[in-house]
Amino acid sequence: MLQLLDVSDTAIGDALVASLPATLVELRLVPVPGPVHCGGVTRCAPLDHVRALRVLYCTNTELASAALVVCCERGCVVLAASVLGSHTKPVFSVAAVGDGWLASGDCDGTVQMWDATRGGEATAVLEGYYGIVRALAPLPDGRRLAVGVMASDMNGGAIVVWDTRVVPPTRCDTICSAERERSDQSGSGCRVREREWS
Amino acid sequence: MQRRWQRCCCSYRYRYVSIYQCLAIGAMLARQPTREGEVPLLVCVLAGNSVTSTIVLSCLNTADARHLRCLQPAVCAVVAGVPWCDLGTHVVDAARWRAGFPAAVGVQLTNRAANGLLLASKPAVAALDGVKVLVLEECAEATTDELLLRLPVPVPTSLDTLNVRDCRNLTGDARFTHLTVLTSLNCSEMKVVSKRTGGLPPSLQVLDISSVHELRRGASLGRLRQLRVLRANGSKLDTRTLASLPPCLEELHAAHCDSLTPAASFAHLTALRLLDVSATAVEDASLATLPPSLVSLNARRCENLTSTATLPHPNAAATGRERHSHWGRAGG
Repeated sequence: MLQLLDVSDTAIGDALVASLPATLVELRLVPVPGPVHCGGVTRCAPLDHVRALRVLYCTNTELASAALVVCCERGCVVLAASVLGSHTKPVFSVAAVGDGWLASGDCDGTVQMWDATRGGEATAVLEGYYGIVRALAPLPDGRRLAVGVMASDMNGGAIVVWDTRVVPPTRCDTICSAERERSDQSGSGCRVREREWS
Repeated sequence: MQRRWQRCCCSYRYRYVSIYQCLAIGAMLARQPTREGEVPLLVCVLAGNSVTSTIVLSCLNTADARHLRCLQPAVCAVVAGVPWCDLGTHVVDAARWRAGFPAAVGVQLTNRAANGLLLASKPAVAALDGVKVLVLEECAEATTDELLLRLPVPVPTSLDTLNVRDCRNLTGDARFTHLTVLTSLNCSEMKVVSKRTGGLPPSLQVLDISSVHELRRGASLGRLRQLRVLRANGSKLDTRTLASLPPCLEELHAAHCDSLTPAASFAHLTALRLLDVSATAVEDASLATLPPSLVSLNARRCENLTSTATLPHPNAAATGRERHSHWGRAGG
């Protein structure tokens, strides 16, 4: 059964996405500038039946938003080399924060907040990490978000908690850090940049 | 004995990379000048036991072996028994190469070495005895139709892999059918299959005809009943040639084949696992013919694919396969 499909730079649409087998592990929809670039795929493209999907290369924002929801529901799908909104680096982790809000973390240490019901641009960016955002986990109170960061050299990391219900989101606590010096460095450099947070 | 060596080398090659690194350092140390009476580290390792010496030798190539032979007579004997298949070293003098590596099974010849063969030099001819892998892509000048026919007697019955890529002096009349056990042939970027494909041996399992721009229209590869891998990127592979491919084909690389038409069908390739048709004219109907065995599909930049394209439903594909096999039985 099909496991890897690359239909980048084609005019394929939702019909093909709907016909993907459940066994598909990797899907590539990477357009390059030009007249044809997967323009037929919309945010309505059904992906939830592709249970085995682990890697999605996609720069179509509409589909990416829909894919994020699918990822959150499963909690284990990896979106690699995906440029979502203003992410400029591959996304490594996605989580549903609540009330339709999503968080996505990339390998450049940036976490973005999304309104999944609207898609498009991220509304808040949590910056200042020095490493790869490998895990995002909403805490049971529905307010806070735990961010797991692994150092780029894989020699250490930290778990930082943010309050996402205040405007702008604020950093609450550092639960643990594997390397004190690095954690201190990231803590002092941490900042929140607001973007149309509402 | 040779087979045992090969098996040992293969089994250790990928498992103990870290050991490789350590022993590679050992090999380096062995080349360092040592104090009087001190035994070089590598010699100690080689003398240790057969397993460690196998590991050491499997991470070296014939260039290293040249130094190894200088260490100790015992090491020299071990080196001589290794079935080297080092294609990174260009052999200038086939006779001297064979003298140094009597058990070697793979060689990349230069123009000078190939000229020796062409002149039917006895030492050069004898040197190729037992060779299973022969690379001639670096001797484009000397590789001719005549050279292929003049390959010394034992070679045609032992040669398993032949690379004649970009050998521009080989013509469309070149024949490979006398190479009775040849399973892999690289004849990319040349004219060998431009005129006819009848010169290819039916034993082929892997064929590379990439960038063969003069492939005859409708050329048939149906004789190659054992073909598993066809690399034809950038060639003139067309829909009729595609239809002639045997059902046992597992990999088809047909990117940038501008002669493939929207009518291309893959339904008869029931064992196909990898298909690359990027930047070709295949369209929605072609996707519908994909066999259920397919694992990897690259259809990047296929501009004829539209928003209504779909992949065949697994159940439908299975039905199609049954129908196909039924036709096969009916035909047989």
